[in-house]
Amino acid sequence: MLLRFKSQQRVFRIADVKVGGQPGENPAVLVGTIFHEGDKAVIDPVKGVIDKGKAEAALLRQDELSKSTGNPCMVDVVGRTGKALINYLDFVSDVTDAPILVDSPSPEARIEACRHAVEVGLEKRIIYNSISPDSSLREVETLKETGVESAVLLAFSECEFSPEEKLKLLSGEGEPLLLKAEKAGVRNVLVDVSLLDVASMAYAAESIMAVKEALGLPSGCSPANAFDTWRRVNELAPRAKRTCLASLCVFARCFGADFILYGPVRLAEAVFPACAMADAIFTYSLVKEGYEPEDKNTPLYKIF
Amino acid sequence: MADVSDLRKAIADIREDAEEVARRLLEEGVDPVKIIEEGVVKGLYDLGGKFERRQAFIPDLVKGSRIAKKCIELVEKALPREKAGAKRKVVIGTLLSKHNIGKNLVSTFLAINGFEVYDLGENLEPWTFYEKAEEVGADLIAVSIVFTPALTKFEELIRILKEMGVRDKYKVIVGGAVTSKEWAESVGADGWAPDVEGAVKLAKDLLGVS
Repeated sequence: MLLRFKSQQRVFRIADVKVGGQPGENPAVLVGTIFHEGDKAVIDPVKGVIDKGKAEAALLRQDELSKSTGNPCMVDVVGRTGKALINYLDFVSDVTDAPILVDSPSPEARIEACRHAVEVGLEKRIIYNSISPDSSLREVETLKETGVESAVLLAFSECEFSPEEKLKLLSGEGEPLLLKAEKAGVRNVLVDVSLLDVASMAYAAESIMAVKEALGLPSGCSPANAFDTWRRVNELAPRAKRTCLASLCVFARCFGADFILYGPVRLAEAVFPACAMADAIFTYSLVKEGYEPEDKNTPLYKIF
Repeated sequence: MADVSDLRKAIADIREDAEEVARRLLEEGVDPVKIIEEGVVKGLYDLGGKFERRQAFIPDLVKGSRIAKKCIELVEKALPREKAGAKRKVVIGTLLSKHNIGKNLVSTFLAINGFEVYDLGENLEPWTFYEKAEEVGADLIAVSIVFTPALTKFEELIRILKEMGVRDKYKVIVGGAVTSKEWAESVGADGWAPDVEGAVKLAKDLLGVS
């Protein structure tokens, strides 16, 4: 067996996607981002005007890859304003059945979009991204009023990166993230341990293992932003960037990541096959010991 | 007996015992200005050099900055009073986003280079810079921008300063991942710096501080 946590692991079901568990049981959930700063599909980031053709093609490709590999997918939808985010949510929810992370630098925009999403019946599909140490009591209380059931907990401190610090942020003294989630009425939590650059995946990987071991919660990270700090990557070899991004995602998976925000959804082609291969190996490490996957729609039985 | 170079090395190596080294230096009667300039500042420059040579990484810079700040807080208490007087005042902060690594480093370096620094923190609106600058009688406003939407917010800050009739009271400098010298000039900043060292030099040049 390659990797097994001693503590019991929580598994959450968000729409049709299961996230969490022991490595090898449920494949990593791969989350592609869309409508972020610099996304060419965005025409007006304030009003939320987009090139629907481009965006739809990228989302459908992620769905196809998810289907062909067995790795579930989600979509991280980023909007600058509430109006833009609502337009994006309406569009994305029509194109794909995948769960949607509601993401914005503005808490007001996130809340406004979540309120809309619940009104139109998307409450089982949306995930608030994110409750952070900076989230105010007002944000938490307003989130509760929306009725959102799922949220990412961003365990990020700008001064400390250690696994111990992540655990303090989640369940330490004061107003830890798990208490905020409880106050927000959130039942399904995904812990994003965060990272700053590629090297700091060392901290992130240790933190994922620490969170899963100590709290048994689904944990993951967002290698995409950190990856963009690696400016020399394309000097190393042609196409090194995509290969290395996929490898970074696999690295996170090998240390227990249950979900991975891999970056722009257009990069799905690089990331899904690599992560599916890692997941297949993890599942086989259980199968050879007598484990029988409950769901045959898993990379081990799909990609080879 | 401890030497200032021990502190310099402790900071460059991101060692948690740097503060203890600084304490020992003070106890042994080493000039606090020397401790800051030759120990802390040079240690941070060494760490910055490691980062440039890709032998240190962003978490190392953040950790080094935190360790250096602890040392500075300790040593500053022992600085002669006249060193604390007649300081030029700087209001600094990150516009719109929560990122603070670069801003914190610039803030630290400005402080140890003799400026009185009012660090407003992160996720700020332009108006906050104006208000604080007026309140403390600042000489310089330093803005960190690492998020593209904040570029227009910086233009808003310049507009506010003009509309309030105080543009000429302050030198306004800017830096950060999404900025450039050309952009800074085009929107009316008094200066742009690509890094911490450049920011400190720029502040000194603009305010005529030696």
